[in-house]
Amino acid sequence: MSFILLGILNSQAAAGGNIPASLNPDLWLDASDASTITESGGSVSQWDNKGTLENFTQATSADQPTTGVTTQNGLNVIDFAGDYLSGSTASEWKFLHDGTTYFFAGVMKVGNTATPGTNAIFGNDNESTVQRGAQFQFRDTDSYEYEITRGVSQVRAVDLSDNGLMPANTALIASALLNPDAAVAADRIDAFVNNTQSTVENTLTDAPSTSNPSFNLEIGASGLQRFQLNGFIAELIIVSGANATEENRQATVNYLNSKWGIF
Amino acid sequence: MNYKWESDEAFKAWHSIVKEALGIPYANKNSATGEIDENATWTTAYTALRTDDNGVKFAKVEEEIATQFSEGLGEPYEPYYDMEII
Repeated sequence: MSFILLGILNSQAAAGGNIPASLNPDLWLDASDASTITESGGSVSQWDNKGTLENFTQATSADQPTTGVTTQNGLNVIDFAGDYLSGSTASEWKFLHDGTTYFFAGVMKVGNTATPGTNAIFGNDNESTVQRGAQFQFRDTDSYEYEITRGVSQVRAVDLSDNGLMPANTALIASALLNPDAAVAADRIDAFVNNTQSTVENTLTDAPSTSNPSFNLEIGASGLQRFQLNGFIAELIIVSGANATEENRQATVNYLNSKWGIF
Repeated sequence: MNYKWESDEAFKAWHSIVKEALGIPYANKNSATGEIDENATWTTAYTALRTDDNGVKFAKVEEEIATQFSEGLGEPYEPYYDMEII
C-alpha cells in the first residue's frame, strides 16, 4: 500500500502538481507568500521556512533584506543589498555536507551590475576549507560555484566552479543535485542554470565530514556573514533523502519557472 | 558602506545614540496581515561589528544613517577577505 502511495506522490511530483509540498522539503522560502515574512517598513526580520526545518531571521536593522519593492513575473521577491538572514541551529543543516543526497533549486538574481564580485546565496562554511559545511555562491562576472568543505585545510569533498554558467544581474533558476559521498567524483554534483547543465565536473573524492557545520546556515551569505548578497531571492527550495532525485529536481525547476517566468 | 572605529567603546557609544533615535528594539509585523507579531524576531540592533580577514572590526552603515548620525561615526573602511582556492 505504501509503495502505491509513494508511486502516486512521485507521479504527482514528476507532473509538477503539488510541487514542492509533496516533496517534504527541508527548506522552502517563498517571497510571494506574504504570510511567511515579518517586516517593518519593508525591512525583513524573519522569513519563515515553509519546509520542515528552522526559520531565518535578522535582528540587526542594517543587515535586513527588504520586501515589497521588486517583483518578478508580478510576484514579490526579497531584495538583498549586502544583507543576510541566519538560521540558529547549525546541526539542522549538517545534511548539506555529510554525504546525504539532496537537491536545491532557487529563483534569484545576483548582482546589480555586470561585475558584482563574490556573492553567496546560501552557506555555512565561511568559504574556508578549514571550516565544515556547504555553500553556493556567484563569483566575478558569471561563475557558478558550489563547494562542500570538510574541516581539513585545502581538502574539499565537492568543488564545482563553472565560469560562464551563471550570468550576473539576470533573473535565473540555479539548481544542483548532490550526492557528496559518491565514489565517482563526477557523480557528486550535477549543476544547472535554468535548463543548462554545467559541463564542468567535480574532481574531488575525499570523504565528507559527518560532524556538524562550522556556522549557522545563512541566506544571502556563506556563514559568519561572509560574501553578503547583492541581488534578490524569490524562492529557494532544498529537498533531501528519498525525494532528492533528478526527476524531482527537474519538476521543481519546472514549478519555479512556471511561477516566476524565468526562461 | 562599511566603517571602522577607533575602539569598540567608540562604536558602542555611536550605536547607542542611533538605536535610541530609531526606537530600537521594536517588534515587527506580519507582511500579510499588517499586525505586529511579538513572537517573531524583533529588531534589536542597528548594526553590528564583524571582523575581516585582516582582523579589522567594521560595521555596515547605510548612507542615510551615516549622514544623519555623522558625529561619532568611524571612518569608511573596505573589508578584506582572502579567497581560498584549491
